This record gives sequence, structure tokens and C-alpha cells, in this order.
Amino acid sequence: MKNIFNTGVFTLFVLMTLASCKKEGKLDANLNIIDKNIIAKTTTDEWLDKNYLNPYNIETKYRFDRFELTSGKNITPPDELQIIPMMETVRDVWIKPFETIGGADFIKRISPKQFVLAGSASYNQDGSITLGTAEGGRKIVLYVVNTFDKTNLASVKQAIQVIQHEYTHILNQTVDYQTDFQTISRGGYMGNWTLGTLAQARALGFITAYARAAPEEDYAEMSSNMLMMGRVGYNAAVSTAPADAQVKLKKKEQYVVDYFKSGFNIDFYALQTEVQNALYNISPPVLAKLIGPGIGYTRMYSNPLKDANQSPEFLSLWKAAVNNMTAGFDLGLLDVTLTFKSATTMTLRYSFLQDSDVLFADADYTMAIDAANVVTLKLAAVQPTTANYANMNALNPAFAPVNNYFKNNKFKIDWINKIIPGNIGGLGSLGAFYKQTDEKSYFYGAMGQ
Amino acid sequence: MKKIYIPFLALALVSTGGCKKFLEHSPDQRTQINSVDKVAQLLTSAYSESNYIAFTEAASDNMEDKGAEVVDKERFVTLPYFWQDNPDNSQDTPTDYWNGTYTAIAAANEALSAIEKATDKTAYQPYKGEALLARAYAHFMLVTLYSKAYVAGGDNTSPGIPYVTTPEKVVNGQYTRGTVASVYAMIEKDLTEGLPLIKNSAYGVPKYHFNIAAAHAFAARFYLFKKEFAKVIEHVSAISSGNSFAGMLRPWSTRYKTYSGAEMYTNFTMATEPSTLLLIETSSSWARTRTNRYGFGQLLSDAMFGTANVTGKTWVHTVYNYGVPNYSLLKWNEYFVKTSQNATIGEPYTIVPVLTTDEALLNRAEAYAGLGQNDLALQDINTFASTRLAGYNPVSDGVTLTKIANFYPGTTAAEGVIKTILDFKKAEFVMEGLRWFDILRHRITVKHNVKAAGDNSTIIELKADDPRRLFQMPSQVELSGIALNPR
Repeated sequence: MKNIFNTGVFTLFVLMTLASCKKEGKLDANLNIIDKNIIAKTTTDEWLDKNYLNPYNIETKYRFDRFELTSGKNITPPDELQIIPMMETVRDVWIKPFETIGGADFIKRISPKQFVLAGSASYNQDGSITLGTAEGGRKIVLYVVNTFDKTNLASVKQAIQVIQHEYTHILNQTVDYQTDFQTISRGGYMGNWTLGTLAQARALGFITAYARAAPEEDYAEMSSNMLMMGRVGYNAAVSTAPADAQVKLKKKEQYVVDYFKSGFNIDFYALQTEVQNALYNISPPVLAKLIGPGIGYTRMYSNPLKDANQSPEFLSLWKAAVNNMTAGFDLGLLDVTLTFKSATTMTLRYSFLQDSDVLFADADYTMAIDAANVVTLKLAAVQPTTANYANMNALNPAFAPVNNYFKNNKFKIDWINKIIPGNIGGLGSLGAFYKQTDEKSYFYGAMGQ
Repeated sequence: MKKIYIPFLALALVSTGGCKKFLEHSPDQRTQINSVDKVAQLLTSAYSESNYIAFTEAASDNMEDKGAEVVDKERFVTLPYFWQDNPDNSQDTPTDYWNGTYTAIAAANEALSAIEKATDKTAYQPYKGEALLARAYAHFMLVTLYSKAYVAGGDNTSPGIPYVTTPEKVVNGQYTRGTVASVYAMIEKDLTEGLPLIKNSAYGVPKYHFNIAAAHAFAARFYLFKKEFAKVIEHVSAISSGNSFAGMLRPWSTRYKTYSGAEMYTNFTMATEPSTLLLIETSSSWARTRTNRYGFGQLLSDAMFGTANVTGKTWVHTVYNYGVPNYSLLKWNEYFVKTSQNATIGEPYTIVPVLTTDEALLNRAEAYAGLGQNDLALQDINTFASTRLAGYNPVSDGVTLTKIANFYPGTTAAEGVIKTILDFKKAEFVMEGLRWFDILRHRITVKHNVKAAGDNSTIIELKADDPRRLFQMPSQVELSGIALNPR
């Protein structure tokens, strides 16, 4: 009895269910009436669609949504007028270099799919401010949009540095970085990193104080700072650290370079140059401000006989010196190197051949660069007495034409890219000393470290 | 009648014959505790598998309100932070600790009763020692956490906790709490009887048992509460016969300083650490309680590890964060026990070094200070400091009475030395829950900040005689005739 009854109910139930399935309704409700959140696209939205959504499938969320941001913090919405300048810079300084070096699809394959913009910074209890966060390899939040200035290099560097940092996290979340990276500066990490200074961090082999927070932050700081400082700036910063810290920083640099090569087939140094070039479009580097140890370049090298474009005046003086050396001393003059030992001292060195030995002749100069980037060189009153300096004394009659050119003129220091097109601001970029009174007379060489 | 009777009798006879063999076996497969080996194994359960750190730490001033930006709020931390009773019986609650500790006591009592039944007791002696020590330690922890703090020289007649010395054979046996004084007397009896019997060679891994050094360290903690300073000194000195404590302390400034985060939490709770004296495995999610709103935050991190202490230097300990302001010293390593081989669920465990040389040495310093021997106290303080300061130089970094007077103005030398010790312990044992014991012993008022919207803090206080300083027992104890702590 019971069985039958149960079956009966079951059957009834099934029948009812089937019956209700039969009904069909039209599902063409106008959802626009229900969804009051649909906002007509503004020109900003259209710009973002054109430059981010369509090419890269990246959403830029700038309308304030509290749930996209850390809770419990006071954060303001971004100014709508700031959105396009900000995202333009992001495109030009962050995306374009990766496209150039990593391939057109690189950013499309591996990129955050959402940028969330906030007007103010996010203030932390340890006194630091959060400039950006990356979440799950998909979302990057950018803060301080309201004070962003696309014409100000410092402002651009700060903003893009954050993206490079967060993007390194995203890359690390895509391809893990070398696990033994964290052993390079073992013992130096501290969660309360705001208590340490930059100098302490550098002495321990960290590029910034924040790098001490954790190994993954160290990695992101390394990669982002190398990109934003450029190779010259990075090397200069490293050169001021103690010797053992320099070893660590160089080692970390190698890890990052290897990682980009093996993980993404990206030539990191080429990427670095691209990023620097993008920054130069905002504010070109001033060579005169980049001279000296710990600042930038420490060397300028030239072999005037091989350099095609030395100015006629300098070349003739050089040729005179070459002839003097051959005729007077039976020596072969090779090249000249200016070594910037500090921001105010320089050593001029000629190298020459005696039979098959390369010998040097050195002289120390004081160097004063004024606000107009004009340098005055004076032979230092006291010269060392080592062999190289003795050589200079002995050979001075031969070098006199060139030496006098340096001593008797004032020079404006600048790149030579207007005469010889080429990269500026990099290692090996060409810099020149233009005679202040006559720009057509100059001497140039490869800037090095 | 007869016809029926005879077969029945026959049947009865046959049946009894069959019963005889059957009754020779135990009705179930229970273990008979009848060998030295079995007693030894049983005693591995004589240590509370529950963890006190979450609630003692939360109740102490080693936690702060980090503010609304930290969203995680675990009840087992939040409730003790506000000194509220926790009705839960899950891991890391006072109820769990009470239950787990009496379970451990039951194991010790079972072992002792088995030893009592043995004919030749010689081989059992080390285990008798272990059982007595484990029982004494368990009751000490209970009386400290659930009763009023012992007042040296006071009458201590407030209710203690049931001192259980026999295995419970009935359901809901009736107990009395006795007094704090009577519980202390029982602890001392077990301690003094058990300690001479202990043999390190009796254990497979001595650091998971009451080895000799651990027993002395426990005795020192106990006598420090009783303010019997000479005994504290005697017991601590017995831990390192040559007074070579420097090599037995946590090497924060040397080995620990070279560790990565993962190495830190792996090593901190290892049996191979010279500082570790007694390890207990506890069922606890404390190791994963990293980003709780109430915890080791910015204020405490800055105060203890970001500013110079009385030595003139800052502690060398590496402070890590799980995102500011969730700081950690990465002491804890979670041991996750899966429910079965292929399971994705399980129970978190944390191994806790409940007794360490570091604590023992500072206990001795406090005892010396209690006896007015400030020189000796300073010696111990400086031994401790020498392993926790970068590039320790005894001349410039050593703690002196002058430095103390400058650092703690308005204190006498004796008070200053005690303050130094307490501050050292507060920082050293952060996230280990030991600060609470100092708060009880020195009747320190606990202050907690409570952040409202806009991060304005109000301060709530727990004064020395507040009844909430006694953690609440599980409500079920009323079934055994025990009154709950008044509220």
C-alpha cells in the first residue's frame, strides 16, 4: 500500500514538474530600466576604450568604487581631468617599451586586466604611503592620481615606477622568480622597513629601503628601479655602496636580467633603454648633470682618428699631436680618456704605443660646471708624481696643441645627437664638449662608467 | 518435569563450560597499562594538547587594536582582547585549554596508578617523575589562568582549581576547587617528589618530555610566583652547571639574523634549538593567526623593536609583516594534519616551546633582583642582551644601574632592574603568550586601545583586582559541583 502511495505521489510530482516546464515566456525585458548604473560614455570613457579596452582588453576603472580599495582607509576619488594624462603616460612609458621589446602581443598576453585609479595615496600606519597594489595578477590599483603631472619627470617616474613594480609582481606570479634570489641578502629583510634608511639598505645590498620588506618586494624593487633609473643611474647608485653590497646588487641585477631572458625572452637592457627613451620624451637628460661618480658617467673615451665626426679644429690639433709624438719621440698616440673622479676633478689620460707596449700620460684637472652647463677646466696646481704623470710632463711639448685646447677654452657639455643621431642617456651614448665661443668646434667621445 | 529438567541442566553445564574461555578475554580491545613501555607511551599524552597562547596573549598588553583596515577578527582573539568570556569550546579557547589540560592530567594519573599497581617499581621511577612533573605543570597552568594570582605572603584562600590525583571512574565525578594555597602545596609536593626521579635517558626525544632541565625551568617559574627567590636561583643554575647560558639562548643576533622567513619559523620550534627545554604539540590555529585586527601591530612593533631599549640599542630581532600593520616575528610553524591520506581537510597543530632557557635566565635575574643582588641580576640581563643586540659590546651596550636610572626615571635601583627584566621579556616573548604571567605576578594594569572610526583610540583597562583577570572555566564544570569564576 505504502509503496503504491509513494509512487503515486512521485508520479504526480513528475507530471506537475513537466507541466510547468511547458510554459514559455518572452525574455526580452528592458534591463536598462532596471539597471540604473548604466552611465552614458564620456569622452574619457571613449578614450580609454580606444586606447586600453579595445587594443589590450584592459579596463580602467576611475569612477569611485569603495569596494575596489582597501577598507578602513581614507581614499579620495580621482579627478576625471587627470585620467587621460595619467593613462597616456602609462601607455607611453610602460606599455610601449614592453611592446617594442617583448613583441606586440606581450602586454595582451600578460597584463593586469584592470586598472583602478584613486585620487589620494593610501596612508599606512608605519608612516609610509601605498602608491599601488597588484592583486592576483589581474588588477593594479594606482593611487595619487590627483597630484600626477605628466610634464614633471619626478611625478612620471613615481607613477610608472609603481606600475613597473606591480607588474613585476604579476610577471612573478606568471613565471616564478629564482628561489635562491632571497638568499643573496639573507638576514637583511625586515617587515618594519620604514625604520631603516636608504643608506642602510644600500649597505646591505638593497636598492631601496622598501626592498627590505620581503624578498618578492626586493625583486620588484630591483626590476622597477633598474628600469626607471636606467643603466647609468643604476650603476651610479650601485657604485656608491660598500664593496660587498655592490657584489650583491650586481648579483641581483644578473638574476633579474636572466629572469626576463629565460622567462619571457626579453632583453632587459634593451627594455631599460626603451623605458629611458620614453622618459626622455618627457624630459631629456642633461649630460652636464650626469657627470661624476655616484651621479652618472665617470668616463669619456675618444679615439679621434677613428671618430668620423670630430670637429675640424679639434681633429687638426689631434693630428698635430700625433705627428709631434711620432716625430719627436717615436711614439704612437692612440686615444684620450677623461675620467671624472669627482664632480669637480677630472683626469686626462692619453694612451700611446711604445714599440708594442701601451703606456699612459696623465694630468689632473679641476673642473667647474656652471648652471648653463659650461665647464671650465684648469690644470691642477699639485700633480701626483707617479710614472703616468711624469710621462705627461716629459711629453707635454707633443701634447701641447690638444692640452691647450682643453685649458684655454670653456666648453658647453651636451649630447652630440644633433650632429650624430643616436641614443642619449645610455652607456656608450656620445657626449661632446662644445667650445663656448664657437659651437662648430667640439670634441666628443663615448660616455662610460 | 524431570524430562525437561535434565536437558536444561545439561545445557546449563555445556554453556558454562563454553563461557569459561570466553570470559578469559577482555570484553573489548582496551590496552592494559602493565609494562614500563606502555606507561612511557601513555605519558606522551600527559601534556596538554591545547594551546593557551591566543587568549593569554590577547588578554595581555602585547596586543593592540590595529584599526578597521584590518578586517580579520577571530573570536578566540577578540573576546579575550576585550576580557570577555568565550563560550566556544573550539581550539585556542580557555574552555579548550581547561579540557585539554585535564585530559593530560588524566593520562598522568592513569600512569601513576599503573605504576602503583606494579610489583617491581624500579624501572618505572623516571616515568613516575615525568608523570608527577606533568601533573604539577598542568595544575600550575590551570591555577594560574583560572584562579586568582598567588600572592606571596598572602593567605591565598580564594578558590583554586580541582587538584586531581586519581583517574576518574565515574561520569561527572564531584570535585572541589580547594584554595590557591592548597593547590600550590600540591604542586610543590608533586614537583619535589618527581624532580629527583627524572632521567633524560628514559626518553626518545627528551625535549618532548619533562627532562631534567625542563623540570628545573618549571620549578623556577613556580617558585618565582611564590617569591622563593633562593629556590628560583638554585633551579635555574641547575639548568646550566657551568653558568654557560650565553650558548643556550636564542641566537637572535647571529644565527637567526641570517635566516630567511621560512627558515625562521621552521627552526624556532625545533627540538634542536639549544634554548628549547620543553616542547608540547598543541592543536591550535595560532600559527595562522597572522592578520587579525587585534594583534602585534604598528604601535607595539615600533615600541618594542623600533626604538632603543635600556641598552641604548634596538633589539636585533627581524620583524616581518603580512602587509602593514600585521607584524610577526615568524615564530610559529603550522603542522597541518590531514584527516586521511587523500584528504584536503585536517587539523592545524602548533608545536610550542613552553619552557625555554631564555625565560629561565630572566626568571633568575628577577630572583636576584628580588634578593637585592642587583649585580648578579645585571649579569644575567647582560648575558641575555648579548645575544640580542647587533655587535654587542659589553662596555658600551651592557645594562648598568646608571643606564636603568636614566631610562626609567623615578624608580629605585631594584624597581628599575625589575622593569628592565619585564620589558625584555615582553619583547622577547611577544606572540608566545608569556607576558600574561608577568602581568599576573606583578599585578600590572593592562591597557588596550580600541579604535573607533577615524582611528581615534580609547583605552580600556584591566586592573590588578579585576575579576576578569581569571579566565572562565567551561560551564560544564558546574555538573561536577564546581562554581564558575564570579563576573
